[in-house]
Amino acid sequence: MTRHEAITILGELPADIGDGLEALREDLRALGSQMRQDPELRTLHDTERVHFMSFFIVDPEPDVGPGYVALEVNWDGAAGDLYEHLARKAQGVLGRLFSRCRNYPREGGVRDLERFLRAHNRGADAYYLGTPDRSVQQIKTERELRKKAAAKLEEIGWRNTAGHTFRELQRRLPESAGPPPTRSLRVRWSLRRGGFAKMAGASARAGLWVLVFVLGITGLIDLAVRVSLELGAPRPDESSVASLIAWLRAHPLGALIVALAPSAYALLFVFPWWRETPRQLAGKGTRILLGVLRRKLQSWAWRTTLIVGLVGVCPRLFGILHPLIADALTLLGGVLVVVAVGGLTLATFGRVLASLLTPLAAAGWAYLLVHAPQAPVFASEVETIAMAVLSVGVGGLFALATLAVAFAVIHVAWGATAGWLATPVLAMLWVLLFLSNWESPLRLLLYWSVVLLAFLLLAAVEAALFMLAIRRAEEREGNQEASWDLEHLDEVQRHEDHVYQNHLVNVSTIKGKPGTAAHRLRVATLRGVLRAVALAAWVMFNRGDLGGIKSIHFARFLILPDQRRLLFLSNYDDAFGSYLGDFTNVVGVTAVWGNTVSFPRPLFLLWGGIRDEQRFKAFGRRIQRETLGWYSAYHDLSVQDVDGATALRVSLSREVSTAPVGSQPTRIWGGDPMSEAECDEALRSV
Amino acid sequence: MPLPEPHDIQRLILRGYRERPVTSYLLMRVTDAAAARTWIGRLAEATAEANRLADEDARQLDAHLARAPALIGTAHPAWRREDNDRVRGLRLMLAFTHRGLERLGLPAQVLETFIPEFRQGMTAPHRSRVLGDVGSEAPENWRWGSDDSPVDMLCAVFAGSHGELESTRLDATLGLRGAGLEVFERIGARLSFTEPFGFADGLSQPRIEGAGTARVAPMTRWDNSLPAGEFLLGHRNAYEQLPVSPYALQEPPGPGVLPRVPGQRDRWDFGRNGSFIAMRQLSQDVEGFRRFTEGQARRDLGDRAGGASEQTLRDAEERVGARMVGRWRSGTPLELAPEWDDPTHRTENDFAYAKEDREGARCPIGAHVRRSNPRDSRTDEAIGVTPEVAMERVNHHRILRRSRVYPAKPGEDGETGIVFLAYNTNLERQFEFVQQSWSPNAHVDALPDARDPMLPGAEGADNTMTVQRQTLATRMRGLSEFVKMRGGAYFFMPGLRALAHLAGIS
Ligand code: HEM
Repeated sequence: MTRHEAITILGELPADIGDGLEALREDLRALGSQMRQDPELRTLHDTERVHFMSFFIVDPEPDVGPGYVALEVNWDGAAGDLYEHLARKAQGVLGRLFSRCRNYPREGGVRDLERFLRAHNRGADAYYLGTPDRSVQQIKTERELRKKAAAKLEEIGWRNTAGHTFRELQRRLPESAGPPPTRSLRVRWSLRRGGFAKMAGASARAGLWVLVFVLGITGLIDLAVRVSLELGAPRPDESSVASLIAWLRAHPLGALIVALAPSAYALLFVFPWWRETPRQLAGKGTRILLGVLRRKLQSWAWRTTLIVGLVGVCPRLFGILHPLIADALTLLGGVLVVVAVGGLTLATFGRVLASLLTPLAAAGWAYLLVHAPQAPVFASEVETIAMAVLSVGVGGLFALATLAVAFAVIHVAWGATAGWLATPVLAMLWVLLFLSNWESPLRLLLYWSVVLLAFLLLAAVEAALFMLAIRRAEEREGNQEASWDLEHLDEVQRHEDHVYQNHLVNVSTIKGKPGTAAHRLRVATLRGVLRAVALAAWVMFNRGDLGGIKSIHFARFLILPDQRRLLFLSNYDDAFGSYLGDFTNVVGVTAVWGNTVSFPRPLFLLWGGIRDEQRFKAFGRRIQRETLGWYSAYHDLSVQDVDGATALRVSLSREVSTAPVGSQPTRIWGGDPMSEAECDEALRSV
Repeated sequence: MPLPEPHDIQRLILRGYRERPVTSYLLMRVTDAAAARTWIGRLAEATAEANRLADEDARQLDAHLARAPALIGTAHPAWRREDNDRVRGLRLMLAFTHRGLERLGLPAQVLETFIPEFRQGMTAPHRSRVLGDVGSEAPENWRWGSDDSPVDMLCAVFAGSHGELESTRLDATLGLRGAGLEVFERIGARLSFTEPFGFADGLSQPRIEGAGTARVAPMTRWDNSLPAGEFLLGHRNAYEQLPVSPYALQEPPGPGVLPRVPGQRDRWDFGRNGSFIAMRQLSQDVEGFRRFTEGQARRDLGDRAGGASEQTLRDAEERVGARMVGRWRSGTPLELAPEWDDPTHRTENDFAYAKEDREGARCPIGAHVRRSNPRDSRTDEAIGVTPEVAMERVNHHRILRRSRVYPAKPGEDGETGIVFLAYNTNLERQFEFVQQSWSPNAHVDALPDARDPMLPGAEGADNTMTVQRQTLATRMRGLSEFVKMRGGAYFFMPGLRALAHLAGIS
């Protein structure tokens, strides 16, 4: 999977820059007009690792903050590689950009430059990707593929059925063969698909999984006890679980088996045994067969687990009624286990091992059934075990949920590091709580409920207090009216709408006088909201759309080091108005910009604001700054084009495509994107 | 709730002048501001008088209408009804460019409160890129509206007969001599059910809530009702906000001339009941269009074309045209009758795309009507965009069209086309959005064609049109430029009080 890095290098301009500022702006504008011609910059583009790149100036504002020169790069791979490249191959450009800045190593060597870049990269406080998982190279390759597909289609003509045409296309585009270079996007986990109903469904399923898993393990323990009895260990004292544990302690061999069996099982659980079988390892027919089996097993995985669990536990439970029932169930279970073992080994390790293991499993089971003594029945403990299963299942699920919430809350309130540090500690606390109480699940559930209630109460009180403070602040603030400065508008519009993509630099001022409580409240709120946005971009909006909007390639928020201003950068499709119009449908935006001056007045942080569309757009223009230089590796592609090309590639690489996905062929037309030369032409006219 | 002040609204935005089928669009420049204001003032006064009489005394209204040679039409229901019954005199619609308002003496303070699109005008360099007015379509090649031929004011005159619009007679009727206004371009036009390519036009219009436009019934398959604020300033728009409207900070002379801005004590609303007009004079190459559809029909028929009967060829030709427009000549939507025209659906507007035609197999995604108003096409359940959500978002970008066909008499002077007038309160979000983000949408819906076949396009470009079908897509190639820009401007059509206010400036 391609790693993207959002790099924002901010060089601080000295306070005495004075007239030098305009000269610098002029020079950077000139550099910007050479974005694709400048030899140093070209070496950078030629790495094919820059998606987008821009530079601009944040003007100094008296009583607010110093001026900055900023370089924005969306980079494939580690940031270090970019520093190195810039320091080695683009010293001239770096000098033009940053030599007026404080701490710039004017006489320094490559290492000093790298150090400067590293030290001044502020990254992003919240970062959104519209085309996740794809490198510049992949995007360009897929663009070519799409173009070729379109041309080939013209050639083939649509005389036949879509499926036929599609296979014809596959045949004539040999370079499309082979699996797509990265995982298909559909695999990516997202909290949002289908909304929270689905999430609830998923957690219910997860709960079932936990239950089933526990059943499985219990069953295996049972099996292990039988095996060790068979190997000559004395019968354990059956009166309590504690004595069973004591028995395990006394008989290392039994304990080993008891420990091994569930861990092997757990390993099987987490091991991605359904991964694609590599081409080289098997012929086509086998691969297809395996593919089918794999898919079947995947959907059957939880069922097999259930079977194992039933096999383990049911005989013990029902054995209380009559020993014969236990035997009958064990027999049935045996058959199921043999099938499961066979299927799993076949899917995981191939035919040879499967044909060896399956009879072995059958023989082992049969032997156990005939020779093993009556299954030990802990009659007095049955209830306890059932309750334990319940509390582990339900409680574990609950614990997981609270941990997730705790993580999110800590993350938003104190940052990602705190979240990552605190969550394992909390998890350990849960485990301790569980271990110390596992014999009386009722007490455990009680504890959990109390903790949950306390947690909820605390959260509610805090949220209420916070909202009150915010609302009071909001009421004090006036509402800026929609007005436009035409001169400023001309300055920024000059750079817009030359190609389908556009670039946006926004600098807004955080509310409140520095040092006052109002300012602290706003900065803290903004930080929290940005963390929430980052979290949402990570777990919810991670598949190329932002609340149903597909027009942003890369965007970021960043609080400037002066703590007084908020920077927003975006590389988006289509027009400014259409883009900001899209924003009016996204709730979170108000919570971010609502903390900055002259944004239309929000209501309780989240509402209002953005829905005041014209005022919001006027605000958007007011805070916009001139993009002095801008580069895009693929001007001619919209986010939807990029996705479309990937989808085409994925569908073309399918081995068996009896029917193309949906009505894909009607959408294959790749269009005639602008040539590089045309892009250059369009941009040079800026 | 009905619109509260119909007498203050210039009628054209709510109802076209069906009873007055001939039009002259007079494009004017102000040569003497004081005289021009007097001229406007007289008209506004006579119209206000008609409004007053309509409220109070029907018999006197009758006499007033019989006497007045020309009035500014308003939406006052009583006199509009009477006016429709007996067509007497001319009805006018007055609108101004930003430059015009400035030259008429509107104070800078008021001028600065207009939305930026209107202040910059249709020919600002950035806007030319937005609207696709580049290359051969660039403003310097227009007949009017460019910086070389700027326009201050539009006076659209609606008449019952051609004779009334003959230029010397018209100028006399309107009293234009000495009015401080120079008419530098007259576009004679007519009401026509079909536009010059032969397709029924003016069928799909948004329904304005409260306007009582009975002809536009509510739809069942899509949502066509929009709040008045999308088309009239001073009313709530689709975001439940009052659109940005120009205002005066100084109390206007003459008490109660301008209404106060709601909730503001020291602001007077100049924009209330006004609207912005995007006007484009588009000439149409009827012969080129016919040649193309015929050639394409032959290509579609392939080998069979040689032996095809005249009828088969005509049918194929009709189909080509219909796919470019999205409706058959009769007005029947392709969505309801994809293969053959079905006149029972003629003029039907109650249809949507998402449910049955996501991929454009019935009505091509690139057809003019589907581009200009995708309705619920952009539905994408996978990312939470239901048809309702898609529809709601699309309804932020609707325009109200009041176009007429030129010239006034068919075949009069060679060139033909439409005078396109679109009303909206937010030019950037409505008209410009349609023309920039929808019409050329080459990047959405995987549509490869960069231009709407019915819109002007850069000359020489290899324009294409993709026709999605059930299992296959075909592509028409070599569409030439059928439509060319002749001139255009952004106008502001004030309400009647604002007109009186403008006239009263000293
Ligand atoms: C010479 C140029 C043009 C011609 C011949 C033309 C023709 C037509 C025709 C025949 C229709 C279908 C009838 C109807 O639904 O009313 C239509 C609809 C429409 N046109 Fe045009 N048109 C032209 C230019 C424009 C322009 C410049 C725009 C705006 C940017 C535009 C926007 C629309 C809209 C919004 C609709 C209604 C779509 C719907 O709601 O389904 N047209 N046009």
